[in-house]
Amino acid sequence: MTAPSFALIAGLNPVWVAVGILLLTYAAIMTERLNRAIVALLGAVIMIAAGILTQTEAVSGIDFNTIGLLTGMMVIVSISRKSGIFEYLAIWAAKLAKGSPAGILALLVLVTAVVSALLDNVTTVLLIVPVTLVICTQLKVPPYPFLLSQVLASNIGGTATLIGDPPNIIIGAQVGLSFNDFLINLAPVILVIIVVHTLAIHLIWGRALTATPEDRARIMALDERKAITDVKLLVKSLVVLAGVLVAFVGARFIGLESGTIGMAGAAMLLLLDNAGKTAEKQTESVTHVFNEVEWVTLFFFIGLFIVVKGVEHTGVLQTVATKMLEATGGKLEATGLGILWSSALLSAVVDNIPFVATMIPMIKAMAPAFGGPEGLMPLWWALSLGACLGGNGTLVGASANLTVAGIAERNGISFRFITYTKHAFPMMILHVAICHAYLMWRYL
Amino acid sequence: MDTDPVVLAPDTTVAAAVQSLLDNRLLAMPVVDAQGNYLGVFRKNLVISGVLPQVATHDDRFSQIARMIDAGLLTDTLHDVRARFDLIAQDPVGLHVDKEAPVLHPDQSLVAALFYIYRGRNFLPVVDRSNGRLLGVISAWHVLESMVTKS
Repeated sequence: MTAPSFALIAGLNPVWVAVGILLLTYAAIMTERLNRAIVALLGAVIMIAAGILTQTEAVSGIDFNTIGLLTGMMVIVSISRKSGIFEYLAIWAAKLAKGSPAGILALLVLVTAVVSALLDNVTTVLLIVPVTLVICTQLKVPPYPFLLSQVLASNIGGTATLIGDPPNIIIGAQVGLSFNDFLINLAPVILVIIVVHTLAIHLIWGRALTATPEDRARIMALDERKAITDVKLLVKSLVVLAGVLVAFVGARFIGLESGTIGMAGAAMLLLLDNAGKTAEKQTESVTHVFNEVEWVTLFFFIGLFIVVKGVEHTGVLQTVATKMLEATGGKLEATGLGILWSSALLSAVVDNIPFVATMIPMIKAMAPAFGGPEGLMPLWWALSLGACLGGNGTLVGASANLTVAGIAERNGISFRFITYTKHAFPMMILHVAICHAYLMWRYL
Repeated sequence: MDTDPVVLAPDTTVAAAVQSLLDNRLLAMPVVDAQGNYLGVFRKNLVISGVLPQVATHDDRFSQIARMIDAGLLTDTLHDVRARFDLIAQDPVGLHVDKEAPVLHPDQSLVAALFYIYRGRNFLPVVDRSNGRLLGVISAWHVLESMVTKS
C-alpha cells in the first residue's frame, strides 16, 4: 500500500477492519433487510475506502470467468426461452407419462434436474414452475409435491456441472477446474441422488396422486408442437447451446476459459437473432435482452469478490486455514468430510455464495499440507457437494427455493418455511450422506 | 362530462354489480359510498380474473402461460366458470374495487383525459380534490363525441 490508509491513520489493525467488514456484510445479507447487491457493493466500497485494497487490487479480485459465464448464460437463456422450448419439454413429459400424475411428477423432476445442470437453478425453476402449475390445474392435483420436488431437483441437478450452480461456477473459475472435471467427479453421485430423490418423492406423494380419465385424455390430446412459437429461433438457440457445451468439453484443447466461452455463446446468439433486422428492431431486441440480465446477481458477485479479496489480502484466511488443519489433525479424510458437512449445514441457513467465496482462498491455503494443489481435489468436490446440496435444507438456503415460494404464494399455494424444512431437511441430510459415502469410496 | 353517472354502492353484491354493468351496457362503474365519496372502480376484468383458473392470471413475464393455453391446456367448461363465479357472486363489490385506477380532478387539462383513455381506460371518474367526492365521469364516448359535434 502506497498511500497511508484510513485504517492505519485511525490506528486500527487492518486485519480486524477487513474481517469486520466481511462479518458485517454477511450479517446484513442474512437479515435480508437490504437488497444483497446493495450490501455487497457497500462492503466493497468500504474495503477500498478504508485502505485495505487499492482500486486496482479490488478489481483484480473480480473473477471474470464467473461474471462472464453468468452473464453469457443469462443472455442465451433470455433469447432462447422466447422460442417456447421449455413449454414443449413440459408438455412432452406430461404426454410421455400418459397423463398420469405420478409419472408426470417423476418426469418433471428429471427434466428439471437435466435443465438445471445446463442452466442456472433460478432460471430453471422460473421456466418450469408456471408450466407445472398449468398442468396441475388441468389434472386437478395438488401442486405442492410438484413444486417441492422440482426445487430440490434444480439444486441437485445444478451440482453436476460447472455451469449448473453458482458455487460451481466460482469454484471452477477460481481453482481452474474444467467442465469435464466437474462432470467426471460429480455427475456420478448426482445421478444416484436424483434416482433416490425421484423414488422418495414417488413413495411419499406420487403414488397417492390420481386424475380422472377425462383429464388425462385432455393432456394426451395436447400438441406440444403448438408451444413452439418460433422454430427458427429454436434451431438457432439449440445450435448455440450445443456449441457452448462442446466448447466447455473441449475447453482444454481450444484454450478458452469459461468466461470467454459464455460470452462467445451470448455474442453468437445475439448475432443470429438480430442479423437481417432493421437498426431500430436490433436496438429494441438487444436492449430487451440486456434488460433481462439479472444485474442484482452480477453486482452482488462483484461486490462480494472485492470483500473477500480484501480479507484474503490481509492474510487472515491463511491463519484460519491453519487452525482448521490443526482441528482435523491435517488428515485429508477428516478435512474433506468436515468441509462436506459444515458446508451443507451452513448453506442450509446462509447464502452459499459468500460462504464458497470465502472458503476457496482458505482451502487453497491448505495446499502445502496435502502435497500441493493436486492433493486438494477431494476438498473441492466436498465443498461443491456440501454447498450446492445444503441449499436444499431450508427455504432460505438457496435462491431457487425462495423464487418458487414466491410464485407459489402468489398462486394461493402454501409454501412455508416450516413445512418446507420438515420435508426438505431430512432429504438433504440423506443426499449429503450419499455424498459422504461417495467421497469415502472414491477419494478419501 | 356526465355529472349524474350510474354508480355502485360498496355493499352491492358482485352479482348485482355485474347485472348493473349489463343493464347499462358498461364495462366499468365507479363505486361511491352513501356520502358521495369516491371509493374506486369496479371493472369487468376484476370479475374475469376471478373466474379464470388462478394460474392464468399469474404474472406471465415470459409468455409461458399464454403459450401453454395456445397449445390447448386449461380446458374449462362453462360449468367450471360459473362455479368459480358463484364463489364471489355474493361478495360485496367493495371487496373487488380497483383503488389504483386513474382519476381526474377538475383542474386537470383535456390532455390528461385523452392520455388515460389512450392508455386503455373506458371512462375516468372526476373527483373533487378537496373532499374526495365524485363529481362525474368522462367516458371515451364523451371524448369521441366532442370531436365530431360542432359547438
